[in-house]
Amino acid sequence: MASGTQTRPFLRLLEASGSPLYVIGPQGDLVYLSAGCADWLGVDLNLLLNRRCIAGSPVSDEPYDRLAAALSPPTGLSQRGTASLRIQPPTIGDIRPDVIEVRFTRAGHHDKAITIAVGGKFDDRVIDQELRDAVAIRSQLDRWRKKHADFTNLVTAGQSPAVRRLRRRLRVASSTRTDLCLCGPRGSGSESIARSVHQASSANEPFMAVDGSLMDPELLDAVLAPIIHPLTESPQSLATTLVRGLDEMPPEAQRRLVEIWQTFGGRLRIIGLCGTQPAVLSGTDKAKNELAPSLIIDEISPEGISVDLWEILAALTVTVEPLSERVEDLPLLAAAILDKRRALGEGTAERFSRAALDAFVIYPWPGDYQELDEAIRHAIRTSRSETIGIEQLPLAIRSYRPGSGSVAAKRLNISLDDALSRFELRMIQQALEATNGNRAEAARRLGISRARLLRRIDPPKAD
Amino acid sequence: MTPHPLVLDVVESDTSSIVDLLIPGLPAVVLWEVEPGSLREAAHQFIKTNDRFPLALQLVADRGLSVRERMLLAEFPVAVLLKQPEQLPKIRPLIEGHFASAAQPVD
Repeated sequence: MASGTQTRPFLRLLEASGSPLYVIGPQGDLVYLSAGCADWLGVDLNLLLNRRCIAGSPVSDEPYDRLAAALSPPTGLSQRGTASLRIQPPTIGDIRPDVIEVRFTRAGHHDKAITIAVGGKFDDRVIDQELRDAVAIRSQLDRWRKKHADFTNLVTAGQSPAVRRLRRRLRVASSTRTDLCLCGPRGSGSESIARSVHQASSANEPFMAVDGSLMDPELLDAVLAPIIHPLTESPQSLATTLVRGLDEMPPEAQRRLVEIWQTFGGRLRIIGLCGTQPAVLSGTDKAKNELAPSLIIDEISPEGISVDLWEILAALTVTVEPLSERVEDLPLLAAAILDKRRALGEGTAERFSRAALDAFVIYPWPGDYQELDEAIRHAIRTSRSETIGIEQLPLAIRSYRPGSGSVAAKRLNISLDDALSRFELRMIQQALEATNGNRAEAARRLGISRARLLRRIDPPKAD
Repeated sequence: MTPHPLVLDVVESDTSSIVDLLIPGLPAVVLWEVEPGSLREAAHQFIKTNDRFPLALQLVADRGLSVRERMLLAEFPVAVLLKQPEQLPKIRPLIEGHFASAAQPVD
């Protein structure tokens, strides 16, 4: 066997360097410790020689056995060939050794392999800038996803039948990767729900959200390009697109979306968001009856979902009920939003007064969940005490009266006699104005007697 | 269909002063220039801008992003990724539509 150069110069330099270095023999015993180890451990190194240095092996209560065992490399070194470990040697007497990072390297094969351990500081594990950026972007993405997930959790909180139904349907939607249509009013958080469903069912798929109402076919191609590209490159690729305002999407753009979907089969998943009662645009009667029995059919309306697109989405349709249908959930939702805001450090308010909660229940919430969230933020900002009173709520909410919306409707229920007498009176007034208050002339122009005119403008007292 | 004033202001800005130019509740379009080195900062800005100014339509001018990076950006609140300035006329309907829809009262 060939021999190497003399070890004496190497050992001299090693001792001079002061670096802790030790060698573990093929049997797992300490066979060499440099002078640097003496400085580090503060013990007589000869007492450590030939002691077992294997991770996980039984250790006696003898302090030096325990110290030698603490210097052992992590398990799996024989497979990996190298490993790093921060070592905290046990205290012996008054000496408390520092924690240092030790790099282990395995040299040789099988039963002749030895392990060389060097203590020190190593910079090669610092990740490069590109990797650091990737991690930072990933964390931003996670934050963005979490924001939507949190929002979804809040929106779907409650015990009303509507929300229980919604949660059950979302569980189904999250458990399978299928095209999906979410119907809900503006501000109901259906986009956040859609993103959460996507995350739950196919988190690693490329995802692209588009505004349906703003699309035309060319623009749709341009916008979807980043997720379409991988689909054409590889037959295994999958992608999801979320289309906001699907029922407001121009028919040509809907046709293009259907074409793209057909090109890639089920590999491009469409999640559509639309209003509470989307119309299916004119198809055949057969299509209307078979595909959308529960939807309002409106041939005249320019807005709606084409039959072809509806055929894709009809597999799973989830309706997000408006807040006005979930009145019993309102106190719980309001409390949950307030808790979340307080946890984020916004304001000091802790609860709502009875009057404020009553106002929440009475108000019809045309802006749905988003309006509730904004109203509570407003209340938190204006509140100076721990309880949010009705006076802290936005004007629209605190001044809302349940009857005010139906006043116009009540007027429409007026009787025919009342309407005719009003009309008659108005005609008489116009005639009087035209004749400068001459009652006889006005009566003549209207073709009625003067006495009748007088009865109309000055009706006799009831008593 | 753009609200008054009918001519839109086009303002060049650096990333840090974007928030001073946007007005909450008013529609706006922000065109970000994103290159591979600025992806991390851009992602942060997309979320921040969307949080504070939900009516700001965010577009990205892609300066040499890889396909993987473009796909990553697609999940953030970005409406369109543009590769060439020549694509700008194509997104005109999007911008007009954005101002038109943002001008509608919330029902």
